[in-house]
Amino acid sequence: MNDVILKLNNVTAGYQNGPDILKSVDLTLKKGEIKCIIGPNGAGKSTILKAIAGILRPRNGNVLFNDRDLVGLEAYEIMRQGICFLPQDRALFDTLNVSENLWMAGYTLHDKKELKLRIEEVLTVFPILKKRLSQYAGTMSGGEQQQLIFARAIILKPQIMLIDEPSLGLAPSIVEQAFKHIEEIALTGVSILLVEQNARRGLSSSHTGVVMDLGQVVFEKDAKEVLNDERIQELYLGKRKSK
Amino acid sequence: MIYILQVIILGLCLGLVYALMATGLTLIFGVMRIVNLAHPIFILCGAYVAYWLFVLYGLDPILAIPIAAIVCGVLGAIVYKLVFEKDAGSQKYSEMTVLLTFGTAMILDGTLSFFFKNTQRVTSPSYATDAFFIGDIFLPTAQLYSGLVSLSLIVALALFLKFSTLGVAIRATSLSRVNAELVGINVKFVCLFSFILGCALAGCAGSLVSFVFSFFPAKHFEWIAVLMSLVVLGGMGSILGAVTAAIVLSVLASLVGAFLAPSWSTMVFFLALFVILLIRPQGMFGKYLS
Repeated sequence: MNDVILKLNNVTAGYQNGPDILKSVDLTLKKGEIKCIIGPNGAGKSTILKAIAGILRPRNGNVLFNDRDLVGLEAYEIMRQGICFLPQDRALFDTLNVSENLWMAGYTLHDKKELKLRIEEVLTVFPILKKRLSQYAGTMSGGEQQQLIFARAIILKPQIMLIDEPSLGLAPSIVEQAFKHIEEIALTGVSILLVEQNARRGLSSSHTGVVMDLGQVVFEKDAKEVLNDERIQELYLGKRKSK
Repeated sequence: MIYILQVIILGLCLGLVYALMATGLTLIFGVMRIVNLAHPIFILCGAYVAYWLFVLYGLDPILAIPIAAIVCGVLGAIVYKLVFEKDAGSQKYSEMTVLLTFGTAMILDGTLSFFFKNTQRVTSPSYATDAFFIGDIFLPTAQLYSGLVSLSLIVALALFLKFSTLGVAIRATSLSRVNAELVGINVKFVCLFSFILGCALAGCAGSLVSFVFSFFPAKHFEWIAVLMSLVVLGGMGSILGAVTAAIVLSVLASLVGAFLAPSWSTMVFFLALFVILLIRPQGMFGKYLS
């Protein structure tokens, strides 16, 4: 299959001198695919994303992006290859205004005219941001910040987006909106690897679901199958046995 | 009334020079969390560059600013590469840098004393002893020029940080190293650049200081105390804060000097430091550091 754009082989990783959090993980991501990783706390879901993004350097194994190994590159270099990481804590620059945040998102773009065009383009996708251009990012509502994050992410037209807990701390209606954006972004050909605590919501927007536990991939299936799997429902989706 | 105005204007000119001296320090702290106790020694290096260029070649210290900036910038780059780069990002970095920068200051202090001896020096361009009169107000030319040049350099720095891509990247990095990396900013480069910029600003300040104060190698101990009080008062890492603190305190200090006794005026800086640490430890424009 040549539409696989990201391939993790045998990746082992952990924090500082601590134990291995990821234990020989294999994972693939196809073009335009939304893949959702679910599993209990401490399973290593976020750690996978950090290991791919280069925030955490894998101890072993390799991460192949279009057949090029990313292990050992700095986070900013990986980002420049076309992999965009959206961490849990939003990673906005709180006391820079919206337009400066967008400007920084295009930091790696050397053609500044092109950057201007892309910012215009992004602002038509997220019209709310247009009214907030001179406002500090940290003073906007959760929903607006979420939009700014997506806006920032698509400015560089990445090939892969790694999204950690997009629903965290958001009101239910905003969560719906966030997932709508994720689906729309994937339709443009971007592959998305998603970690979501709200497993049901995450899976229902995804093509495939991956179940992780104790640092290993337990299994991987079509997202709908995962949603309907009795055992998984019991273990990870919080359905009671009696029902 | 005229007298008060006179004192305020003199304080203001001096305050702008202090502000320029403090901007580099606060910039370096803001971006890299380095508490640069060696900052004033870089200012002194700039002062010596301006002094010798004047003595040997008759170059005006204001025109010597670019040369002093380059010399201090290069020196800064060397020091950064040798001393600070490898530990950047480690957990106790700020605490470590206090010792590292202190050591750097001692080494440079010793080197300067070895070459230039502990003689008091001052650059004396033709305008150093001149003065303007506006009505009854007396304006010493040296103070006025140094104040105006400082002001324009600070404005230039502010414009750079506000409107250039690298400037915004510097601000972004000072907000969060990790987030800056995530948008593709080469944080290592931004840190090196900020350190060089901070040291170059010290060099600029040094040129100006060379004809406003008399100086000798151990002078930096006196300055670091005043500069740290300005930076803490403004909020560690806040340039606007440091500039405001410098101007306000310097005006206050000259008022105290004029109406109480000159020996009390330095006290203003330290009293302000005590008060701010008691009532607002994060400084005027600062935020709590996590």
